[in-house]
Amino acid sequence: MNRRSAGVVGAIALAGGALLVWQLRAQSAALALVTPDTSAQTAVTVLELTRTRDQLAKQRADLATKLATLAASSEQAQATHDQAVTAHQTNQILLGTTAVSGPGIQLTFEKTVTTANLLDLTNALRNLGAEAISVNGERFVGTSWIDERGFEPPVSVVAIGDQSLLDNGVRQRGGILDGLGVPVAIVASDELTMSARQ
Amino acid sequence: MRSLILPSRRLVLLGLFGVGAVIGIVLVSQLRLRTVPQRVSPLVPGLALTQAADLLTASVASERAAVDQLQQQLAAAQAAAVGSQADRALLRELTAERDELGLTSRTGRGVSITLADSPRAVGAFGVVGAADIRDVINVLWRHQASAISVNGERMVPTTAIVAAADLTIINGAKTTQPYTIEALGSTRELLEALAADPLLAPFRAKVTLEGVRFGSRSAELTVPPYRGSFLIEHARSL
Repeated sequence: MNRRSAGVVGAIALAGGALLVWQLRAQSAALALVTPDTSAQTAVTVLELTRTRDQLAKQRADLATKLATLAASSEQAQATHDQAVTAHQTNQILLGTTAVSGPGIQLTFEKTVTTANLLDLTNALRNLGAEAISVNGERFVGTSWIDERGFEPPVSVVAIGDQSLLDNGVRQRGGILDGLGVPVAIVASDELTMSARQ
Repeated sequence: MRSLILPSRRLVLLGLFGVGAVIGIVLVSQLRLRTVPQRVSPLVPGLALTQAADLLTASVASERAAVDQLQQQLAAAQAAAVGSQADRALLRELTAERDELGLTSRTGRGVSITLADSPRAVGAFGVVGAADIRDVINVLWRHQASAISVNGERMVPTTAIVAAADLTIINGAKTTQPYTIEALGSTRELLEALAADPLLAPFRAKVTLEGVRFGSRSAELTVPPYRGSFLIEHARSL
């Protein structure tokens, strides 16, 4: 084979290789898009992002209203005072420094639950918009942790927030409770209370 | 001599024909893949979801920036309008609470931790999951960390860490491995906890058995603030 033929064969082989890689990458990308697992997980991403965007839109509207109220008020000092008091109450709820009440759900486990179970559950409740959480009567706030001592039954977890969202969210098929695999009684209530952090 | 060359040229021609045929087949299948009518293509739902996720990501970023800006404007307006001495004290208390809630950045000594998938990760094997991140954070709080962030997202009372496909959603923002966890606190205590706390035994086993990458070092850190605000609609203080 002369040099020219070798060059042609080399070029054709290179083109063939490039095409083959292109084809395999396209197929793999296409497969990723139609694989049920990937589609379901992308749907979860969309759901989560939609929820976050809606929450942020609410927060933006709330802040804009406060700012407008302050600007329009003839008694700006009084408006500032009112807003500061409300903000202080919100902060106290989030920090767990005040007892709280409100609608929500109470979950009672009749079998031992692990640290991982409780971390998964509190994480899921936060994701469902829980505004206050307690575990066996102790407030679970931003800096709380769960140790390895194990939790003997009955274990009670209370979450205050949008009752319907919390209730439907934890009962969702394939959701958090299915993942935990521990029998649980769920009671939705219009009025739950929890004490302040110790 | 001639009889030796001729079969060789035939072979080359045959080889070229074979290569040409393969290229033709690949090209045709590639073009067919691209021209599948959208209404019947099984790719459409997946593509639509991916595009929706991208649009939502941009929308979330824009909302967060707007919330951030409004918070600053409101704080400035309140500071300017404050009247009595008592209200000044209340605003100072609010500033301290905002700091405790993670709405301001914090600087100090701490530990920087890196978690990354194993080079031989397959499926769930060797992959850093949302639960691994939660476990590490749980241990850091247990050992008195004063502020924590994961890939720049501050851990606050409303933070959830959610697994979604090959990424993780934290505070509603998409992020992916490698994960850098930064925690302020006693570097000695935090590093010892990462090495020995029994709550991290399952994670350490993943590092040993599955090759998940884990590193930690002490450092001077600035943990960023949470970019968002808190809205309480259902809970009431008693």
